[in-house]
Amino acid sequence: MAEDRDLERLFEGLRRQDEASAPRFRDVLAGRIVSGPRVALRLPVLRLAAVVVLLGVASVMAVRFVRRAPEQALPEKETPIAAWSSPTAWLLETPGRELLTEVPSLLDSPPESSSEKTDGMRNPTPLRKGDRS
Amino acid sequence: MTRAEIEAELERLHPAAFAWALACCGRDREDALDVLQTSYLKVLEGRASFAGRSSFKTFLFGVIRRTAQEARRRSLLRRLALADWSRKRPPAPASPLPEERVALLRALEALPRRQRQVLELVFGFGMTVEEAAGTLGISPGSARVHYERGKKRLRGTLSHG
Repeated sequence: MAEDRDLERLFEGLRRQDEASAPRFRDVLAGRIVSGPRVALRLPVLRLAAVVVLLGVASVMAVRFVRRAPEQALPEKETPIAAWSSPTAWLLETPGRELLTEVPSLLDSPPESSSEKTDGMRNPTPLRKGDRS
Repeated sequence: MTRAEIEAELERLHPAAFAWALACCGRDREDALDVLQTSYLKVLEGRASFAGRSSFKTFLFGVIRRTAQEARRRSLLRRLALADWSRKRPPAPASPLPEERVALLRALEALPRRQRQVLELVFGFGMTVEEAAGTLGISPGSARVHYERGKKRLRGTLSHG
């Protein structure tokens, strides 16, 4: 209880000092000392800040919209991924490349064109007598 | 109660109401005056009506507490919306503070708001714990818990400080 009284004394002192600094009731009610100038000064600043921020955001959005609009107007041709090929793929196509990828089968008959050529080489048509001269 | 009677009662309680408004506004004098004027206008214009369930002082202190809470919420929203952090300022004391007062204010700042308010109402304004509960809009049981815990912590802080 003695400690309670001690706290009471401390709080009492705090309250008395606060009460002593109270402005007059009529002045508070009339708002004569209630931060009239503070509100008057702050409100236009806040409004101005809000307007500037809104204008800034609006202009940024407008610029972005205008820049993006033409791109969005032309839809891109969609190419399936399987059909895609590199623009420099032709550089890899060297002459004779098919020899590395296609293996001829032994059972198949040789192509006609090649047999004609070899026949021509091995069995040349006999020369007639008059031709030798 | 007529308007004249209400006004007379407000005037009688004005010094204590100002001290309570200071306590609700973190000792910021300008905020306390704003809150006090708004509270008086609420009562006089009938936006907060006294039903006679408690004493007029308890009713008025409740109005001041709610008004301070609304002001705090609005101020927080404004700061979030406009990043108006510069407005936060330390409360400027009008005169050099006695050491005892400084120690008590520091110890009170370290307490949760509810505990601080219950202690201020009971010790500073001579209310019972039940009246403090009515002012703060909480149950008497809850107010008693805040009172006991707050008192214990406050004593600890004051004895160590």
